[in-house]
Amino acid sequence: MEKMCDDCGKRPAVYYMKNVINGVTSQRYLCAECKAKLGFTSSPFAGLGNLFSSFGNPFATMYGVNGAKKTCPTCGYTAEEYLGSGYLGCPDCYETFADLITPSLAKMQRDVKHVGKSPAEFYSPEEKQYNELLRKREEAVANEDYRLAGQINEEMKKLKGGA
Amino acid sequence: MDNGIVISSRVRLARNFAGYPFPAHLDSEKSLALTQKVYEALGKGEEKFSIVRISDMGKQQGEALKELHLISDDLLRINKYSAVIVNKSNDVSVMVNEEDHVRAQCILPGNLLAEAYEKISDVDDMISAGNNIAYSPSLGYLTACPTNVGTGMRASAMMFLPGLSLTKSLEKCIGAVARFDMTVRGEYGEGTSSEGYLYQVSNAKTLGLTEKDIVSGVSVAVEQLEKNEITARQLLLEQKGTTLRDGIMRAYGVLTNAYTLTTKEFMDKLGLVKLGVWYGFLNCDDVSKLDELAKDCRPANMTLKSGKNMDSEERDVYRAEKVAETLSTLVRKTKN
Repeated sequence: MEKMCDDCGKRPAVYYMKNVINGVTSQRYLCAECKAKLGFTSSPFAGLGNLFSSFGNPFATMYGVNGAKKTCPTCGYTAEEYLGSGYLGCPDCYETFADLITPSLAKMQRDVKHVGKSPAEFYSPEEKQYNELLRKREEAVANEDYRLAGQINEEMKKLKGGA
Repeated sequence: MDNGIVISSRVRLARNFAGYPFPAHLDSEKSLALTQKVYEALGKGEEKFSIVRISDMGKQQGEALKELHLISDDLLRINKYSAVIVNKSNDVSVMVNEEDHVRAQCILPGNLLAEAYEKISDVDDMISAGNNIAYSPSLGYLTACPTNVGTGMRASAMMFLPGLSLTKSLEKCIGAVARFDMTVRGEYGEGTSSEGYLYQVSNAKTLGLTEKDIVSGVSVAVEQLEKNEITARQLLLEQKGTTLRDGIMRAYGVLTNAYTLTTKEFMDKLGLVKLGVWYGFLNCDDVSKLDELAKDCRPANMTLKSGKNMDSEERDVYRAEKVAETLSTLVRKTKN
């Protein structure tokens, strides 16, 4: 069903606006006329151009100025700078601006959770042990020591069962 | 058999060091320290790497590396203290202080995405060992732009698609692969038009997928495009055989006889000649040599190799001469 404009209720909404103020999320659907009337003239994402358009997002997202006041304590980067450029100042900005980044990730990546590779030090002790056994098993197979490979296999099974 | 449609496969990983601002905001001291860190980490492996700092690089050399896809425009632009570290065979290049602290890529000829990933993942392990990499268990590898966060991975294939391009069916195919979170662009990336019917297909999504998912996703898109390309080539022959063959033979005629050739004209006509070889209108024992010629005739690479200081007109004359010489020995008309 077509979503109507929250303000006039007459025309179909073509803009979706979301504000996060002090952790409270509010959202509005607006038509082009009401959007202009209310003074939301441009999207902070406008500068990103085709970066975002390639993700086929039907609604332009707008964030009010109130939602964009934070500054990253590590690098001094501001929310406005992020919204203007689409780039962050340092890795810690992800935590500082989580309120802003998470919804935009949900839109452009259609996912918010990483499932791929991680640096070695992020492996749990079990994962590390498992990887080490895997390496030893490959070594044993390469040396044609199948008895050892079998033993290692059992250990790996135990580890997997326990994890 | 290799049909020459997939020219090369490339996988790049974006990584950053925790506790440092991203390169656009990094001071000279830290920039240099990071470059050293990465270079030292790569020095611990068996493979030999060499480093070229942007500050030591002439304009021509920078352009030449860009033409070979070993560095990007951003590397020359974002941070003065950036560098590129490459292995001997030039298939691994690690850019330091580009958009992210580390952009490591492996580029292999042909359709070898999985192999390219394996190779660059090993390089990534070397860089990560003993270093504190910016990573969050929920968001994965943290990158300067959230469009790369998660795996930080872009897998792409360079494809030769004259059939889809000439039948004007590429737009439709681009729309179809876009539904699977894939992007198709010109050879030199975002905003570039295609020369020589070369297109890059790559994943758009970097978060919520494993690296293997990305490789297989791009591979499926590549396979689909490849099938469509062959169908388009067959259609073209059935419906416009005479015009097609005439266009190809004229392109061959120009490349073997012209007195000047711009890069664009050369690339587009070389594309037609390659297509002529595929149809059997022309004979060529080794098409990969034509791709090599394309690389050698890019403006900066050609100028560097020639050892001459040429303006653009002189370059076009030099290119025409070189192309005519190579093509007249490498490519022959078939006898029917």
